[in-house]
Amino acid sequence: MDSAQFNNQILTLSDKLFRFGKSILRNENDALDALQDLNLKLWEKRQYLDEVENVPAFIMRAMRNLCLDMLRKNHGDEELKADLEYVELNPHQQTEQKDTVSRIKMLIDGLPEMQRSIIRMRDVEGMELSEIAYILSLTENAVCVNLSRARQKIREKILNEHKRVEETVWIR
Amino acid sequence: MDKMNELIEKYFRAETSLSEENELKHYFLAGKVLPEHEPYRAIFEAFDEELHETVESSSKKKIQFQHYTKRFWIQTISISGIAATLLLAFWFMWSQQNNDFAIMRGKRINNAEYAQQYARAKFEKVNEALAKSIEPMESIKKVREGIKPVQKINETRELMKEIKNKLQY
Repeated sequence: MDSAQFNNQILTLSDKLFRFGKSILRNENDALDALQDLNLKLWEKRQYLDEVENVPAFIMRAMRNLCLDMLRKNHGDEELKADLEYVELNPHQQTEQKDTVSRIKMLIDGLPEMQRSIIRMRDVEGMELSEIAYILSLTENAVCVNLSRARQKIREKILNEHKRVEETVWIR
Repeated sequence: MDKMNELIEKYFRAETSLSEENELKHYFLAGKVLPEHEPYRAIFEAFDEELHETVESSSKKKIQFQHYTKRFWIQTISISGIAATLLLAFWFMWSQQNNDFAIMRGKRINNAEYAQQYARAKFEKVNEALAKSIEPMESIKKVREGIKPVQKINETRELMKEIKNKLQY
């Protein structure tokens, strides 16, 4: 793969990879660092990329592995347990997240890593289930189950908060 | 409306296709949403907002933040430097002012000329006192000079003894 092909095929994925990295790491600066690392590694091994069948999916998978390594380095395995939910928002964060859109983003960030990666790959990037399954090394059925759980959790929290707001208005 | 309700339910069960999900996105982002669907609108708005996050925008934010922190430190250092210089200048002036005074009979005198005259008068008095105390010493000198011939008596006596002895032989 020459530099022109590299620019066309890999650097055009930068935004998608950045969003994916940010979703896993929950930090913009770390995601930018991860993206830079990934680009460097891919450039060094660019001659092998010609042999890869689905380059974008392969790169997304590489980005995920890189981000998970970064998480392991910083937090150990605690962050990566499948059933682990991210800590609830503290009151300070809740007051900061006044608008609902930001609140939704926070709720997604509160999901376990697998679920937040799946929901973002599907709902933000519009990726096929088969592609997501390949990136995460899961079956399509497992992706579906995780996607459903993630969406249900967001729905539940949103409806609860909506109900709470309406009750507060009625009490006043 | 029933179709939309059904689609929403399918969406949350993760049974929708990509085209059905696009239909939902268009519905929620168009703005005309039924009141019962209103709580879900923010979900699709959040997804749409996230889709517009790019490396460029994030890098700009990072650079802006770095500029801000850099500016903050430059400002802090400059202000601290100015404050330190002013403090030093005030301290120097204060210490200079403090050096130009004398204590006379328990009172602080800032007038340098007056202090000098006062000191000169005091020195003159000390000089006089010293001169007076040296006066008796001068008379002692005179006495000592007067006694000098008496000190030679012993020598004369010794000489006479020698002469006497020689004469006896």
